[in-house]
Amino acid sequence: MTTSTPRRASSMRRHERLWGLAFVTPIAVQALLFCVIPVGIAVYAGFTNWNGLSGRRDFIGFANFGEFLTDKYFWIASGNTVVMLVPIPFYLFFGILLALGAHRGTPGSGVFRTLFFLPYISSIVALVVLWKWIFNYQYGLVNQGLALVGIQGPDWLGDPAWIKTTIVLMIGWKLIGITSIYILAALKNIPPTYYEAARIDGASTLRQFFQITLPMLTPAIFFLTVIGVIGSLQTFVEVQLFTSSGGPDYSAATITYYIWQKAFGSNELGLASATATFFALVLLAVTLIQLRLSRRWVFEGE
Amino acid sequence: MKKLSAAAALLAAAALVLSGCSAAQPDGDTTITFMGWGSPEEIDTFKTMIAQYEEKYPGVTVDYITVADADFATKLQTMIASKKTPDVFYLQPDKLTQYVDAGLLADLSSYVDDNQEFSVDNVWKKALDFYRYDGTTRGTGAIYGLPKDIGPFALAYNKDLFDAAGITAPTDDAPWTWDQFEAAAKTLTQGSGNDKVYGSSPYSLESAVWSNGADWLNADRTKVTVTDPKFVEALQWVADLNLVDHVVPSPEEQSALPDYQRFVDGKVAMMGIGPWNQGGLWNDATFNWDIMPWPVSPSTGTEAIWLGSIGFGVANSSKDKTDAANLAAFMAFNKDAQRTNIEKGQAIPNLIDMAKSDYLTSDKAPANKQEFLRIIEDYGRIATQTTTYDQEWFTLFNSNVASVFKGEKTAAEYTASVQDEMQKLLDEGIAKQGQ
Amino acid sequence: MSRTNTTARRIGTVIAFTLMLLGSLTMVLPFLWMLSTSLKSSRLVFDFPPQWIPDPIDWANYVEVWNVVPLATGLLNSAIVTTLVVVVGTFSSTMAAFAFAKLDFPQKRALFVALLATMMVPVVVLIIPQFMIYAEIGWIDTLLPLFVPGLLGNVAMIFFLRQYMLGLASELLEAARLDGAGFFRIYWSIFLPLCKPAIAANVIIVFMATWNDYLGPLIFTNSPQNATVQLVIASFSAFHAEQTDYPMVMAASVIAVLPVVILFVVLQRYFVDSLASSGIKG
Repeated sequence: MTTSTPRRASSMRRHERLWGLAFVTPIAVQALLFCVIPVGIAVYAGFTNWNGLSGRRDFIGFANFGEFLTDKYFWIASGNTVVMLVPIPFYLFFGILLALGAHRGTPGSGVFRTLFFLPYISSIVALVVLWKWIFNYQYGLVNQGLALVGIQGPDWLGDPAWIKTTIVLMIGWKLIGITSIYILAALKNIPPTYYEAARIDGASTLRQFFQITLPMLTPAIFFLTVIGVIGSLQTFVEVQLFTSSGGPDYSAATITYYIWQKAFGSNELGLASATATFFALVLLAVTLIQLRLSRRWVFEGE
Repeated sequence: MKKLSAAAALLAAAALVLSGCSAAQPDGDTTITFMGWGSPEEIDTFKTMIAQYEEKYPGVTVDYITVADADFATKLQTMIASKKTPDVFYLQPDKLTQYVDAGLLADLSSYVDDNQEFSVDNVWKKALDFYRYDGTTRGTGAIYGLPKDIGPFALAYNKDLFDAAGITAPTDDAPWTWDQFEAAAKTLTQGSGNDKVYGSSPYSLESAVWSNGADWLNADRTKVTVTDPKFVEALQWVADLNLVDHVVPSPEEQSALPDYQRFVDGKVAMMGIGPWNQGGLWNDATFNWDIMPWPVSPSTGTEAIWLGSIGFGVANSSKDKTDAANLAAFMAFNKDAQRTNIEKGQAIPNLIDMAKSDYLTSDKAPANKQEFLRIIEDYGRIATQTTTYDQEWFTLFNSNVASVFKGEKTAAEYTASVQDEMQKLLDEGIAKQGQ
Repeated sequence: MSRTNTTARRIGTVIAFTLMLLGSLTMVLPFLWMLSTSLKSSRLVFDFPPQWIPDPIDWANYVEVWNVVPLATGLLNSAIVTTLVVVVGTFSSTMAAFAFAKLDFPQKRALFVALLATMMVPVVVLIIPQFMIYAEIGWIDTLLPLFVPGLLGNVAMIFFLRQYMLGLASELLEAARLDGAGFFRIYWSIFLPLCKPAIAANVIIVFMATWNDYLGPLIFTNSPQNATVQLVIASFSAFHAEQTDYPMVMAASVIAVLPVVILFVVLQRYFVDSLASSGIKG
């Protein structure tokens, strides 16, 4: 707005608004057609007694909400769901470490990166078979390895005390590689002039890391945290594929699994929809809080 | 910009081609959708049968959809909820009450009485009982499905291991008591570590409970009865085979190596099998094997074990119910297909005359095929949870019954801890029934 | 000063190398085992101690897999769906990200939050309503539900690229405007090239998510000719795992993973090239 006449400035602004709207139209259409409308149907179903079998859908108010909120299995599932957050700091830490290693040109970085990526690119269908096989009580790689040093490994997938650990390990293991890719992309984005300036000022490597690298990584870390929290809290496939009916004593069931079971196991689509509506609102609140807090620690340029 | 519009054109073309493919339907024809799961061999068998059916009923085309068995229920449920139920589909008898109550299944009673495909007198009574429901009680009343198969669960044994241990299997007029079974299992259990041979794979809880004169529910399926001392005794006996006698693999070992693999490897001497295992055992077992009657509780002497079945249901919403019912019946009772089942060791014929001639006289193992038929005709039972509105109460029972098998809880402690909640879930199911 | 720096650097490199070596071992061992198992005959699977290099090596599983399932059809369908989603979807996503990061338009913040909100809804409850919509418009048992939504963009990708572009100097935009460049040109010839590494990272992710999607194809397609590779593998594994035919299942899994590994190796080179060409090194 420095030079032009007021009229030109306003036509520019109009232009900008139009282009901005045009650019976001495709994704807005997608969200509307394939998400907002289905969500609308699901939210409505949450207030009905729909069982998915008969066409009956009587409006029953908040009864479904009362039902799951007083269901002890919902609360067990909620506890388990929170546990699924544990892998986030783990894979963030190792992902950043790996990205830094690759970025500083450690020999073999390209090969290592590909190897770290293997778990992520494999389909969950293949991974679960592999994972079950590796954590097999008697014949699995892990317990055979432990046996070599004289330890009898636990029943990773059958013991209520271990099953969550196994799932947490698997998620963390799977996501290190992809995390490092995001971080690497962000590292590449840091202008080298920053480091030159710091070097001229005589800043140590460590200081450079904490004063330049880390702050410049915060947008990526923020993104990974937000996506990671959403993904972790929605953990489902691992539970479904590893356990039968949520594990012994429901020890591995997550909220999404609970919703799944209500919808597809016991034909309570109304209840499942109500739980999902509630859960989505909680997730949204968590994310908005993160967005709000982000202003305090995320570097946003300028 | 050019690239974008090129991409859009490509996309539009692709969309046309793709939607065109599936929308194509010959004019004047009836199309029946049929959904099931199965092994590659089973799917091939069905494709052949469908081709024969289409030849026999010109003008009818069958659209055969196959899904992995673990995902079948999800897919079917989605289709039902969206009012796109397949015309014919695999029907799990557990779900029958819910489906009938929701008006999803066509009543096949009059079709069964009068049709071109089969005579009802030649079909196992129990196979049809799976699909009968009179609005309150299962096992009687109108017929809502035709049996794809009937699966008597029999006790198989490794004849070579029996001979080596000097044990003779019991005959069907004189089944072992639990004590005799335990004694034999102890003799058969040998070795240690990864080479250990167990006397038996984990014992059927259904057989033990029923033989001891107990059940999960009372006769009219309204009360949970797992704290009945006879039930507790049976459960504890099954658990003690591992905990006290060490003649069956522990739950951990069982999860490590499935029963079937253990049996084939000669690492257990006895294991429950169904007719579906026959073909596999012909290929995999390097020893002689046969089946024998289930042991009986010493306090009753009653023989008992479960029977399984999967059926074909016809959707009430189907536009061509007769064609659909014909397809179901054709697949259920087609003689060629039944013969294929015998040859491949997949199932016992649904037709009584064929089971008693072609099946009994075939020369493959087991020698004592009569035992399978005896379970169907005589002591086999439809599982308790199959006959209730839903299975929530049973799922709860199973949720941690492993703690009894692992010795963390006694049978009495465990059943007492789940009884009330099971009752609550059962009551909820009953309240939903007929709504 | 410079000498100590070099020594410190060398030590750092050694430590980094060792850590990465150890890390990649835990990542790669399971897959080596997968490969090893796929080359075994069934009876060797339960051997103890396990053989890492099977003797004899049994290639039969790889031959047989192609005969027992329509793997080729599955691979083709997955390739069609994935290519469309990745190529077209990347344009939609980068445009939206550019707008959210650098342009000012009405309801920007609200729209962005609304988009984020769509990620909060558990997919499992959307399936049935989505199926209803697709059934209504005749898309069931076509590939359309598998790629049309993806063509319009990907919220996670938009979110990341927005974060990324926020880090790019807005002066670039102002300067280009003063030169009279239109917004599309600014997006196309300034911001898009600057985002190359981030786009490469996201292309990999979108590719993976689409290639590995299982629930969508399972629910929305019926016929074998519309099956994707994951459906083919899953239906096949379900049966063979029950029979404890692990070698066969592992062979199928190796085949399913291979195209993705190849793509990653190829893209990674591009990714590293773009790093190198920008003249920035650690």
